[in-house]
Amino acid sequence: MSVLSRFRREAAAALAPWLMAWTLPAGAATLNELPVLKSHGGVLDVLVVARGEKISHLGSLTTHGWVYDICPRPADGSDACPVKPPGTNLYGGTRLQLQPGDTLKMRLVNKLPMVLDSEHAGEPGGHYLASNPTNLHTHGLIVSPHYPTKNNPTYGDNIFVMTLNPDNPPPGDDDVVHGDVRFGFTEYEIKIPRSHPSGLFWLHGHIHGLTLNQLSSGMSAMITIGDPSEYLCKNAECSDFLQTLPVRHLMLKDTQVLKSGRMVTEQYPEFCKTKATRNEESRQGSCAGIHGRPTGGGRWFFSVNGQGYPHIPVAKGNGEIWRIVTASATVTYDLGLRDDQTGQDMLVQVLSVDGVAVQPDREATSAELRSMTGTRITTVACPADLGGGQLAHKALCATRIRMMPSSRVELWVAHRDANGRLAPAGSNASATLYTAGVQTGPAGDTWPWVDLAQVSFRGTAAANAPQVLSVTGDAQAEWRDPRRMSAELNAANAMFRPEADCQPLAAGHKRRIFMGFTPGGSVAFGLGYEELDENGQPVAGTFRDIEPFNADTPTVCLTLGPGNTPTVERWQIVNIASEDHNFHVHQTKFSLLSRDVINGRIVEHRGGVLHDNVPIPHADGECESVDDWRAGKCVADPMELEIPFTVAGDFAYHCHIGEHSDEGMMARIRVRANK
Amino acid sequence: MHLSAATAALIAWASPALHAAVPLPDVPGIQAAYEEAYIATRGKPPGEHADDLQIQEAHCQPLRPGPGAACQIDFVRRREPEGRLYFDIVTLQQGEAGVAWILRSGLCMTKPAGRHAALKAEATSAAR
Repeated sequence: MSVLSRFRREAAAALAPWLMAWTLPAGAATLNELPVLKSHGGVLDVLVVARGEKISHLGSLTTHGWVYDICPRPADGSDACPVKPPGTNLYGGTRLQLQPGDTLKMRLVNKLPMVLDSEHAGEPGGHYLASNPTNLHTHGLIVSPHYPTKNNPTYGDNIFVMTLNPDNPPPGDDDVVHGDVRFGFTEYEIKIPRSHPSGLFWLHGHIHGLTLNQLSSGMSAMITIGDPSEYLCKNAECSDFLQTLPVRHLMLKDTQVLKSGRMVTEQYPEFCKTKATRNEESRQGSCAGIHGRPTGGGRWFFSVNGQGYPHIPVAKGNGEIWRIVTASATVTYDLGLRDDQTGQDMLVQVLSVDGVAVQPDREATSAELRSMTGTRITTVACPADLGGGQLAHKALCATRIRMMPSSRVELWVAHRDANGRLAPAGSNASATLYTAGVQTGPAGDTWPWVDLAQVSFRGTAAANAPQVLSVTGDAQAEWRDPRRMSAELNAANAMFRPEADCQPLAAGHKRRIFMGFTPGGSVAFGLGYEELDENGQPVAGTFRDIEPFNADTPTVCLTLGPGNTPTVERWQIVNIASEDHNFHVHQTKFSLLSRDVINGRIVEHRGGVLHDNVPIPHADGECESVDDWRAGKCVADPMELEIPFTVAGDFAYHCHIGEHSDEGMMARIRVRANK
Repeated sequence: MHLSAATAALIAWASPALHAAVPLPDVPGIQAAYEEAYIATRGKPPGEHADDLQIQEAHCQPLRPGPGAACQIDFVRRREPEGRLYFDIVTLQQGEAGVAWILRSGLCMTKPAGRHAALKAEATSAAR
């Protein structure tokens, strides 16, 4: 070590405590875990009250938002949860902890106030939206979307029902309402298959036209199934190590508040500048609204568990497991963990994506890892494993993770050096969890750069600590061959009887989904469709131009396989717009198929990384229609998905950017039981 | 006109009693109103009421602002043997002589295909 570098090191060590004191704002609160409600005896039975709430934990401005007040179902049948102690942070969310095979029973009660700023409530046919109807979607769960019957008057994960607060006006004769409509409450019963993956999921409303408003005001909760030990560290040595790792849950939400204290539920993408201006004092947990506009004096709060810029103490050298949900309505987060001493992003190991443990093939190349993860994860080489033995699967390491709305990841976070190896933290090591500014394309949005949390590291990793954890659980294997799951779902699937119009794709055929604007004068987000034959050519008569959501008519109708076994389809998603979209499909997971550029052939990576949402990059050039795309006016970079359908029912696929889905970038899919 | 706090409190206290005095429809009344609406809209595009709805239960409250009633109903379709339950909220007004109820909204299939179709229809109409 040179004298100069030793001097630098010693100087840094001497300055670190002072720097820590400076970077850690006075009174920065330690991150709280979300309150947890656990299942007992195979059932979690809860009351979910959607209601208004004063929100004062975010920072300098107090506001009123909408939250889920969740509690065990009161024995007296009451539609209110017990009064919470003062200071309870309902905005942060609640975690529902279940096990595979459990039943989640929820009574959703709507006590929401009217919506004051809904864009779509001002449109013809949409006036009822001002009454703030709501419903529930268990995002990422592979469960039945069953409908109520006389014998079982509950809903499954069914988005085609809305619950109204009876104190707000009901729909009138000029409203266009589809699906079931209810006053006051709705009962849900979600049966989770025993073979369901263990992992991280979440709960949110799914009212077409209000998704953006209800998410940005705070209405979401976390769902966890099983435990990380079910897919991590199956060998004895690693298992002992895993038990030393605390598990932390982080729910990321963002909310805009005007100077007056009024919350903007119809989020405004240009609320803040992308990066801090010279006059802006801090970007810790929020950014300042742009002056000279209605945003002036307001703040856009980016919270973790409802706390503005909390402190996360990683107290032991072995590190922690972090399970992160992006519950944002519209914002794309580009997450990094910046070492405060070096300014470099620290390496983290990605253990799970969208609720399923990652299990890339051991021989997968770096390029293949990147193609499995789409553009979601900036993959880097993992440090050699010194302590965990031979890994059954390739470890996935990253320095940055792109989290579009609804994304989830689970990470192993520990103090590491510039080479990504575990390193003693000493007494001063710190990092900043942040989201970098993201530009989602020439016509897209520019999301701001904000520091989300201050992280302090302490201690030294155990001598036998592995550099990476082995991810060897069986959840993905189940899903790779989901026949067991489909057998469990058979009874629920059978209620969706065969329909003549629902036919399986011919062998070698696939579906192509277009994402973009509707053609012609009225500009709205929408989805298009066509079927492709075995040569990749459109099948005559199947093309449907890009159109906004039609709640009544399914765009895709398919049938489960013989005996209601899974039907596996290939979909090609083509984004012809000049901004990125986030493709999400309910009731299933999919893998990305990579294109082998050299050989010009499709290389399959079944099960390496499974997704329920994936960024679809924008096209280069300008296309106003599918015809423009066919004429080569823009070049899209299609994503090829392989989707196993095991669940029958009516559900949806859509862009998970709230603004886009609310405006119409959504379609209905119908899956029917086989004869 | 400003009400005194005492008057406001009295009105608030009396509201449930006033509500109780407002006549509300029952299941046969709503079923009859639906069947009347079905006959009135039959064969009239862009759509019409379904013809096979059988209302099972109704929970009604006075429409605010009134007059009339808002009811959550659950119903089945006679042609669906699997017994699926549907839910809707209907608004009704009392007809002449206060005997029959008239369906004002809900249980209706005369609407455009979606909120976006309504928007498009209005844009087309404005362009003409």
